Amino acid sequence: MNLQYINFFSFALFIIGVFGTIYCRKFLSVIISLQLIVISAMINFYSFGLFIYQSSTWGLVFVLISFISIYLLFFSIVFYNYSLQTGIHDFDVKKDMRIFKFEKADWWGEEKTEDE
Amino acid sequence: MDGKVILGSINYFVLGLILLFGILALSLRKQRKKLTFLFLLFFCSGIISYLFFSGIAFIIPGIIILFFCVLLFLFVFNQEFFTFKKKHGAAEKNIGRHRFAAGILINIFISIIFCLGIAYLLFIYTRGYYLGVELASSFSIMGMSGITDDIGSNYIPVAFIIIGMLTVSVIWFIGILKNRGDKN
Amino acid sequence: MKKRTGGEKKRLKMNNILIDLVYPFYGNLPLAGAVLLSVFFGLSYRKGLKILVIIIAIIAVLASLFLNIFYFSETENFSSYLFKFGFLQTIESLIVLFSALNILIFLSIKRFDDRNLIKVIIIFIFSLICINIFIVSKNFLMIFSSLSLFLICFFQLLSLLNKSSSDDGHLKYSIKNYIIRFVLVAVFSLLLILVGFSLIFGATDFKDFTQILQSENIDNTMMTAGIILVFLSIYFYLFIFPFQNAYLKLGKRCEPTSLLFIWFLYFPSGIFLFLKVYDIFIHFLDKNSQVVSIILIAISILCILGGNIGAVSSKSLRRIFLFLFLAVIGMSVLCLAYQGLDLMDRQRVVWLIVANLLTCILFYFPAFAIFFDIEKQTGSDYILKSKGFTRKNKFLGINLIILMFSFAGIIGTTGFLTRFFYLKPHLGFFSGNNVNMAEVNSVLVLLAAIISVIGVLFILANIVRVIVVLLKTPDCDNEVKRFPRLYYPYILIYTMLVLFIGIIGSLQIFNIDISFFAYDIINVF
Repeated sequence: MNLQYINFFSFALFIIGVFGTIYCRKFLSVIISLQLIVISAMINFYSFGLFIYQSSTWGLVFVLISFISIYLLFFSIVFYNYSLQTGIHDFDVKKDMRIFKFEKADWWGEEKTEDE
Repeated sequence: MDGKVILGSINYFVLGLILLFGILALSLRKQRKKLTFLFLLFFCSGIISYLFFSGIAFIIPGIIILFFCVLLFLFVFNQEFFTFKKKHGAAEKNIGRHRFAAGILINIFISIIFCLGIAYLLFIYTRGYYLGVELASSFSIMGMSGITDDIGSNYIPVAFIIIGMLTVSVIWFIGILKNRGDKN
Repeated sequence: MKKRTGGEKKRLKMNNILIDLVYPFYGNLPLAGAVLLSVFFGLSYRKGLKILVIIIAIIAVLASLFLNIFYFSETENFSSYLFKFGFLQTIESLIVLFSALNILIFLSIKRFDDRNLIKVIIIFIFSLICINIFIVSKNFLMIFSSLSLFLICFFQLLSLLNKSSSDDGHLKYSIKNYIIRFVLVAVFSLLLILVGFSLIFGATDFKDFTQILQSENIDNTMMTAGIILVFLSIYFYLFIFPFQNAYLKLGKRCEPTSLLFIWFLYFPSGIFLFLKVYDIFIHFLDKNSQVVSIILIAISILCILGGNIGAVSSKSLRRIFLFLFLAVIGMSVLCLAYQGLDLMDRQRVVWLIVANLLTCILFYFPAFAIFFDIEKQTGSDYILKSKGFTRKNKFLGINLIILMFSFAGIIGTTGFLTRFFYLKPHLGFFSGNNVNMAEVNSVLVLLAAIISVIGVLFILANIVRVIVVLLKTPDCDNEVKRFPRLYYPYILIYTMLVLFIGIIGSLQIFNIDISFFAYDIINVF
């Protein structure tokens, strides 16, 4: 096993995750993209811990505790979204949930509040 | 065949699967298929953690990830079965019309530029690292006792605030669930 | 003298061990106690219990404030494997607790009838514990986990506060989407930090930034990549231009008290995260001063101009405040560029970042009290709804104008201190002190000077615009009912505080001896 090749996989996963987070419009796709970023970090921790440090307790503890807190956050977000479903497909599924948008109203003038 | 070669091959295979499932989960349109591949992604991540002799650190978060996956499934199935859908003809036409809208093109362009920037940064800064890195000649597999000892001796405050967080989250769940009752 | 028995000596030793174990969490003990007590009433909607929980929360926050100051003055700096509690951490903790006190006051006035008030207060107090632990955290694991747990609390607060903010079901569900978008940006930056820490882990086995700074690993390329990711995450976390969409969208639509959580809990956590990595930032700044200064000046131009232009083009008071907050963050970013151009030292930059935050706090809280009450009563945050406010309510109006002058940086107020030190480096430069500077640096300094002057004048223009509206003749149909009686002493206290700090600071700037006030406000760090 070569550490560099393993890290190439994790960096590729990270880049795909970042691309998905910025590009994807649907809530589920954004969540999936964020999972890819989490898994790439996990692979980094495991690979560095195995190849560079003889016993990587700290890396494992970091993964353990950080995953608990991150997934608690993800769980809360998905639960909140689930609890406030409207029952209207276009509103729940087709809603544009891109986290980065660029609009004229972010720089100048007023924005429409009733834009749904 | 040498055991190390077999292990290395399995490692690369599973990493490739993770990459493949990640791309499929993102690129497919149907939500149920996305979820299926997301679950397979998590499954492969569990396997890779065992291949890195670190499965013990994945077990407890794995339980939470399982609950998370179950919630995601409920969320998606709730959307698919219980939501009112418009007639597909009109919706499909609208999608076609907007596909090449300027906003979407700008979005793709910015996403690609940003990802290229990050990829360049990672490539430039990590290229020299691998030439000079000293790999460990041997390693020891850390068991749960080692991890709990480390947490017990060094990270007790984290454990306390996580327990506190779980308690507070229960109160929040009650508040949000009552919201569902109001909605109904 | 009574001789202690073996058992008593053992109990005393155990107490001392427990006290040492809890340090530096003395400030969190009252908060933890308040959470434990309030949990018993978490499901209640009774008015009496709400009042009790509010009183417990306020006492806990005041006790926490007192304990933080007292124990720092007793024991000075503290550093361990997980935590570091120095002067900067004390100040950060005081800022958070002071903001928390104000937020509690607004929650109890504006949200008293909310069925979820007790739940909100419990989660709020717990979020204070998380952010206090985050402030004193040194170890990467502590930083990450406390920040993510704080984000969970913050998200839960936002969701509960906006749960029934609108009778219009359509609006309720649209706010949900904007809350989710906002928090997803925060999660994205959190995950960038996670990946950054994983790369730092690959570079070195050190567990905090202080160790890294003192080692030779700081120039390791993998380390550099990790730290750049951490800085990138802070950039996204603070919704700096051009990624401000989610923040502006949510700020325009959310329930008003949510904005206080965003401005004075969420944004400070991002600023405090930056201050944790600030020494590493200085190291990179020293190595690549021109490149980093150019990037910082570009970011500050975006923020200062974008924030001010956005504010001046908007007629919505919410959007004006949202934009001006980003403009102030832009001014803090410009201060970092000053350091790269050798115009300012480290202590002054940290002072300016903290002072900018304090200037915002001292203006936004009282302004929020008045303007959002007008919004609630008139149903709109349109600026002309406040037309003639000063003529209708002279006491609140005059106090508000003084506070606005402070935010604009008029002499004799708190804001003047920040504006003075913000512009002072350029006075030194243009008087010919740095004639040996390289030509590129001279161009950059000139650019920074232009931007800083534009920023200060633009904020002044925005504030004057609002003051002019307040001073106009009121319309007959703009009937604003009386404000809660608490607002009068509340705003008066802020006005007096702003003037007191402003006058003392101004006297210290001009080297006028003040024997009755021992503390040097302008050289705190």
